[in-house]
Amino acid sequence: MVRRRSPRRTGDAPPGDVPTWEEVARRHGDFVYTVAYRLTGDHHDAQDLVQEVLLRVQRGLATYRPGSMEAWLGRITTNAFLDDVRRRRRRPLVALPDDPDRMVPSSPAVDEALAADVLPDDVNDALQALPDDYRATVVLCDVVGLRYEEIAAALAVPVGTVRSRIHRGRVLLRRALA
Amino acid sequence: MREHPGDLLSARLDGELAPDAEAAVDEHVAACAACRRDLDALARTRTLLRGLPQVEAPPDLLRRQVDVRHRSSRRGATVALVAAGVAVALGMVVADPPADGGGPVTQSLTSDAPQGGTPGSPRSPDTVGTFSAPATASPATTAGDGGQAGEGGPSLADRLDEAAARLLDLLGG
Repeated sequence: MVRRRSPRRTGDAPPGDVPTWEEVARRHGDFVYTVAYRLTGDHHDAQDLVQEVLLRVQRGLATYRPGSMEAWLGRITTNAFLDDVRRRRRRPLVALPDDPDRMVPSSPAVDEALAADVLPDDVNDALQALPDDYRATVVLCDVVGLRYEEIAAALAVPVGTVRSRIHRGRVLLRRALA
Repeated sequence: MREHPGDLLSARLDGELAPDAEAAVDEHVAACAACRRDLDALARTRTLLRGLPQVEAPPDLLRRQVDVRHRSSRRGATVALVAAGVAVALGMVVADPPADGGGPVTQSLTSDAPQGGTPGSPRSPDTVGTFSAPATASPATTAGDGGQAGEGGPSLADRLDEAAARLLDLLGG
């Protein structure tokens, strides 16, 4: 019995580039869950988000273009998260001052405090304190590993906005971890 | 660059600056102790972020999702089977005449046929009449009777007779 293993793109993709939905879930499940957890900061919310992401993956797999699967999944996860945020407005965006650099006392004492023994949980907590749009941008950059242009395309914002959010996000994290 | 680089510092760390902008930032940082400290602190923050460990997904989460998908694909087939079973059962009830010991399943499967029967179906004219009465009322099967139907149409007895005649024609070849 011939069984269709996976949805196939037509065109230039060589066979085998598009995995089945089950393969995506099994191979990249931990990655998607990690991104979801860094975005939500909560295991229950992360599980809900992963469910939504896998549904979107299931629907979108046929249009997947071979490339970085994790970059693709990271974009889907982040957009699903932001869609949910906009729908629920559970954490309204916080208005930030124009120049958050000024909020951070730049002194050797602060830098020393940002020691190497900071625990991952502390970083995660600090990440959760960021405004959602900042956290989404920082996660796409530092957890998923996208370039600024890729993040701009994923979030439909200018590259300058991405650069600003990443910098301001890191500055706020630096202050929170000091 | 005379002004502090601001968000260009993070972009510098990420290698996201054009060569001339990168050179300008580097020139400023070399001459500005405050920006050097900022750059160093930002680099450590970035390292902390990028060093966050991967979180293992609850094993049942992905298994649940896969199971749900399999169930949903199986559900379609199950629904189709149940629907077919119900159709057969309904056909048996509707089509099962006391005198007809012949296959009710065959009758039910042919009950959708506009002519009320299929060549070769062994059944009595009465049974066929049960099926063809509603069928002959459809436009597709009463095209020639359209005018009459508008004026009251043939009686049920006439339609039964007509259906029986058709079946006899079919059976008789």
